[in-house]
Amino acid sequence: MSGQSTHLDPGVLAEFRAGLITGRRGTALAAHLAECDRCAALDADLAEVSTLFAAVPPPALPADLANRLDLVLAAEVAERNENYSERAVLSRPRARPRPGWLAGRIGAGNRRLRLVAVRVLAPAAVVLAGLGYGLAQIGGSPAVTAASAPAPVPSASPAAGTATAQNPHSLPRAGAEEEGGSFHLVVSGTNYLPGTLSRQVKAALNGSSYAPGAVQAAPQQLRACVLRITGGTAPVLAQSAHYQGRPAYVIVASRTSGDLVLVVAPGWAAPGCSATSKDVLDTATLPPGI
Amino acid sequence: MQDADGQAPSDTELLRRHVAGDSEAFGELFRRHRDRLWAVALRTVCDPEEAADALQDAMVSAFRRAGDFRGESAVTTWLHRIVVNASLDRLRRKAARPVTSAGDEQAFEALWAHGTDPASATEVRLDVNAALRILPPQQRAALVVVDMLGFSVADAAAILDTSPGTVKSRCARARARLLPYVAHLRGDTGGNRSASESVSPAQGGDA
Repeated sequence: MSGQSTHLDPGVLAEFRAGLITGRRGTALAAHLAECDRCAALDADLAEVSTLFAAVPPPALPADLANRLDLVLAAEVAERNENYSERAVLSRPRARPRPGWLAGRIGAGNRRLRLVAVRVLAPAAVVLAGLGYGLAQIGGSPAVTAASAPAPVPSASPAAGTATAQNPHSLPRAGAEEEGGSFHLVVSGTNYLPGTLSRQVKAALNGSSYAPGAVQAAPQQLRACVLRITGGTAPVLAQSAHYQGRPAYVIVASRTSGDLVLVVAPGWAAPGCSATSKDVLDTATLPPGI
Repeated sequence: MQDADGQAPSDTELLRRHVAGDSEAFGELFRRHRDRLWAVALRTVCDPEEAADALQDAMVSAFRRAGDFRGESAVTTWLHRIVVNASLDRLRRKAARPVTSAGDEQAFEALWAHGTDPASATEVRLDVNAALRILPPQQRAALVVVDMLGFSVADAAAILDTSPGTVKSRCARARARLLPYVAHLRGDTGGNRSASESVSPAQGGDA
């Protein structure tokens, strides 16, 4: 202990440790540290700040965020492929402008969606296939506009009845591979809930009780958005149901690492296939082998 | 994704493929690093929802701006830089929230004092995020990148878009600011030095 009346300021000591104080002043500081126990202890604590922060284990990426990032990335890939496709087929007329995709966040301008574009989306399925997480929930805003509630549409597909036998879980396989990317929508009375989503979806996949005649051809816009997310692959299940008491679509996309469950508000099935938390109500990943 | 020789492609190769139009390459690249990128965003923003938005902003930005990557730094450095920028942007937009006010210091004190025996400092567990929240954003980002993620000062300077000297200075100020809480941080991170071994600026002395 030196008995000096002046000790080093922590800020100065920190700068010295960081190599910002050199030369004669640095030499003097080093000499003081060698003599002063109190400042030496302070110096050790400063070093420990770095050590302690370095030892903090990194936070795990939340499963819901991982799912959300994959969805957004799949959409980005689809968007880019669509643009490539549009450049390649200049003679084709453009479809209506897209108002919604991540509007505000990305500042989407006059981007366009065209159904034909879903034919080039296959790589997006690989993005989704990289998921391997458990139950997850996206966003959570319960605000759902009921104005465009999913409504059964008259069955327009002659294959609607034939799909039933193709599903190993005895439900009509929502995504019977049909020309034009059509799949079937099951009108369900189920009210899905956040805490039980996975269990309810498993029950829907395994169950056989659905009202005869409740299978409809998926509306065109819903079909476009679902295929956009799945990369053109028909979903395992597509239901028009409820989520927390409000109309919602429940989509299950098959993946090798576990089926992806997507719960969307009716507003999701609109040009642009919004991925905002207002429209993507919940997601989950079912373990493989369900 | 593997090359013909069975090796995983490098970050640079994945980015090149992405720019060339490969639909899978960016997803592969981002998944490779997103855990660490999430750590950067969360530690810098100190708010899970804002950090999630920042990470998403950054991912989309990197996806679209990949063609701007010129290879002056490693791809991972470039990705971290985009995430840090997105995180600081988020903080700027949320500027109404004070990050260094007395109120935050009080909240910090309340956090580590809550539910513990004040007489037993070694049992106090301090939330690291609460500690980081005391720091101004730029100092916080520097501390996160250098001390928590282990980047060199040179790489940190590239990530933070500033000079190495500024990185050192920000880190030094951040460490000095956190010094009074080192005993509590020690409790949080599993260190085992006793509180009596440390000397806090507030303790005795004749400075």
